[in-house]
Amino acid sequence: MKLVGEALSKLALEKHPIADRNLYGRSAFNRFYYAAFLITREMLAFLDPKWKSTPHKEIPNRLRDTIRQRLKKSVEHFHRQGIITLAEKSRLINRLNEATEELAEMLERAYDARVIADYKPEKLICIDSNKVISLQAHKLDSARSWPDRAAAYCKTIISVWKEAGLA
Amino acid sequence: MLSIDDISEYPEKLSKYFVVDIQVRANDDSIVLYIPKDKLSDDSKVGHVTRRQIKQLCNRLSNKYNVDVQTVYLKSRKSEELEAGIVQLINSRFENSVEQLYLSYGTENLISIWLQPTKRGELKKQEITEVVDQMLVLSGLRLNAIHWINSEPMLPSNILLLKTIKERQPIKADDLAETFNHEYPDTTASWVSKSLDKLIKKGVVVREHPDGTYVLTMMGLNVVPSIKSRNGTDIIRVLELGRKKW
Repeated sequence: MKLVGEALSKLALEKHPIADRNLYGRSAFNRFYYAAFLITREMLAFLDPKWKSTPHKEIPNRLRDTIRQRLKKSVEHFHRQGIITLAEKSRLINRLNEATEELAEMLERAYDARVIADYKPEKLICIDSNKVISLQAHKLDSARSWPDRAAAYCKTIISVWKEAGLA
Repeated sequence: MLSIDDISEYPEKLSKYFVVDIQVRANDDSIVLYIPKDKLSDDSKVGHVTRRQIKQLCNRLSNKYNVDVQTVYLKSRKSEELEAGIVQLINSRFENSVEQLYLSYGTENLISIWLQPTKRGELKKQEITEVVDQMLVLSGLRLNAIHWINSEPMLPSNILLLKTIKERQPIKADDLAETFNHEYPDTTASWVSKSLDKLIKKGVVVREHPDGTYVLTMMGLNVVPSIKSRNGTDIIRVLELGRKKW
């Protein structure tokens, strides 16, 4: 997916008719979104197989609510039993909260860009004099990093999940 | 179908919440509010808005227009420039030590960083942290945490020690250390022994003689919950016992 996104980004900057460049550019947003989405979905399936089929729009809520609640419950249990200190409990909760918030916000931006790219053909891609491609508020340069960012945040979430004894 | 013109709160009333743009998404029947991330604050103060206030606004709009209301937090240009600047600085000072770096602009000028070091950078974590910290202070920001991608934490937690003992007991400290070596490379048998001594004092682990193997006490068994999934300790223990038998 990421590779396809990269190839489409390059095509959008080549000397094609402007209508074609628009199509390449908006499709690149779509591919980068799906790359990030699939990485996130794999992580969700690891945390709990039931979460694998979470609908796209629900993923930010899953990250901010259910996942945080489950971790909090687990670490509070171990803290009450004297197995981890208050500092360790806070560290785990904070690490998870940060990673889930960043991932949720990034997916919200990415989903929005993908919806505009797929469902609003009247909103055209803009390419400025510095060859920066954008679609409304979203820049393709930022979109390029979505899959790697998603992977980084997912690694942190999985690492905390394991540390809390949930996997 | 709802259109932007139907939303009477836009732009005037919504500008109080720093909503810079608004869209109506027909595909999932929702209103999208665009808010710059650097306008978010933990506490209410002039020139900022809290997540709670935004949540209340979303609920109000959702009830009024009978659609879902989503927010998209826009990253500031300052944040993107700072991210690129830190990568350049570290890579020039520590000879390409950074493979990936993502900056998270939190509230109250608190910055968290996700950093994947190269092999060279792996050895210079302390120095990199100090330089990043100084750079942020010079920019009027504060470092909250650096999350080292692929290389943290280096040692398993007490929770993980207990969970693994439950799955594989009776187990020797050497064998326990070996099970963690791949994911937590700093784990040694002596570190495991010291950690287990602390858990023995807490009454959750006991050392059996003369084998020197460790098992959970009744209290320890009660502490480690049994999750109903394929990763649950009871399931893994049964599989482990089967493996040993064969």
